[in-house]
Parts: sequence; structure tokens; C-alpha cells
Amino acid sequence: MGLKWIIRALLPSEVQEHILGDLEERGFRSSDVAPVIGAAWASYFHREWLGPIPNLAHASVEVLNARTQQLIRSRRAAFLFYTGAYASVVIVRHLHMPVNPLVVFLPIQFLFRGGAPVEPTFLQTLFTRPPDPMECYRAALKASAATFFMSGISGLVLASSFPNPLRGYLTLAGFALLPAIVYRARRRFRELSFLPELTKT
Amino acid sequence: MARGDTCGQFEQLVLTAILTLVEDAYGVTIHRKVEELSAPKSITLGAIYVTLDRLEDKGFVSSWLSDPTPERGGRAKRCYKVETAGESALRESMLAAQRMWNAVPKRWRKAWA
Repeated sequence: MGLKWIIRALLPSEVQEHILGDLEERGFRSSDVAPVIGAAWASYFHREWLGPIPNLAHASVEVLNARTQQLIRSRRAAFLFYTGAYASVVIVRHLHMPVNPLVVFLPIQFLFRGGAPVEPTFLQTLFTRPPDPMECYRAALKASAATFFMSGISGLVLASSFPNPLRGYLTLAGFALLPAIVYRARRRFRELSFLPELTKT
Repeated sequence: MARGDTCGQFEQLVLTAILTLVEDAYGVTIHRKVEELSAPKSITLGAIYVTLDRLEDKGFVSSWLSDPTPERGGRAKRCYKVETAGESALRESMLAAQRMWNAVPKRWRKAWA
């Protein structure tokens, strides 16, 4: 019972049921457990990050919807974490001085109202297959551009809220990460540029 | 061929296993069949799960949860079936292997057989 409980706790919730069943059927062999837990998480993170983008051509509507929902959930969680971090930085910075509440309140509202509704809607547009391939292509390009734009703006707002030495480090880190970001963006656009061809099938 | 239509060697093995098992294709049985097909190489159950997820993402297979069974501690199985795209990808891979085999000179084929 103890071992099962530990394995259950170590697996992502979405796959617990069938993987635990499979392990039970095979008698909880020790040679199975570690690779299975590793593989389950590897697969989970892969899906969290990539979503259904490369699979638009053949995936069924159910699979697409499930992946879209999964991705939206993870993005929403990341966004809440990000907003929380931002809010704490802003609040801590202004604790020791007289503050106009709007200085704290407005950027958070900006992020919430500007980012939160846009992100899931655009993701939904990006991953739902419209009947017309060209419409799908345009929607995907727009969604991708908007996502990168929003990420850039949010990053700038966050960086500007840090005190000076930290802002310098963040800027340096930003420059260091720039090649990776550009690579990722190019890869994303390259994937999207296949859409019209993929949706023909 | 559009990007995402192809499948690797291990994916081919998993697809073949699912096709062979027909109605009873789930983690444990697929693993057993793949080990049988790739003998003497041993395969971990984890590798099967990752590949099944990847094939599902590519739209080559689809899955559903079956009813819980007592021998699995009252837990459901995730059953898999090969979709049309998976069938064509597998067929394409088989044809490529066949073409490759035909291109090999006869004397080598005899030595390898």
C-alpha cells in the first residue's frame, strides 16, 4: 500500500490511473518503476511545452481539444505565478515610501486584463482547426505574433519594476537569452509555415 | 510527404504491436509484443509510454480508458487503436524498407539472409 501511494504521488495526475494499473498487472517490478515515472514526466512536460502544434495535420478533434485545454491550464498557471511574482516585487519596492495605490494596482491590472484573456483565446484560435486552411494559417500567424508581443511587453514591464542593480542583471540575462528566444521564435514560425500544407490532408 | 507523416523505427514497432493486438492493445500487452518483435533487445515500459504519447500527438493512434478490472486493482486500462494516418505512415515505412531491400545487391542479400 505504501509503495503504491508513493508511486501515485510521483506520477502526473493525468496518467496515474492507467500507469498504476499497468504496474500492478506486472507486479510492481522495481525495474519498471523508475523508467516509467521518468517517462511519464518527460512526456507530460513535452506536451505542456509543445502542445499540439506539430500535430495539427492528423490529430483528432478530441486529441486537439485535450491538448489545447492542457496547454491553456499550464499557461494560466504560469501567468498567475508570474503576476504574483510581479505583484510581490512591486509591493515590496513601495513598502517603505508613500505610494499612490494606482502605481501598484495599474500594472497588475494591465497584466491581468491585457494578458490573461488574450492568451487562452489566442491559444484556442491557434490550436482549433478552422475549416479553411488559409484562415487557419492566418489565425496561427496572428496568434503567434500576439503571443510574442505580449510576452515581450510583459517582460519589459516586469524588468522595469526591479530596483536598479537587479534591472542591470536582468537586462544582461535578457541579452544572454536572446539567441535562444530568437531560435525558439524562428522554430515556431517555421512550424506554423507548414500549416497550409498540413491542413490539405 | 508532409512533415509529421513519418515514423521512426521504434514507432513502427509500437504501431505494428497495436495493429497485431487489435482490441487488446494497452500498455502491458503492447510492451510484451514490442519486446517480442525487437528480441533480443529489452525495452522498458517507460519507453512504450513516451512513444504512445508521441504517436497520439502525431494523430497516428487514439486512446480511450476502458472499464476498471479487478486484476489491475480496480483501475482502468488505456487502450489504443491505430488511426488511418498511422496506417499510412506504417505502410510508407514498410514500402521504404522494401525498396531499400530491393536495392541491395543480390549477393549481399544472400549473405544477410
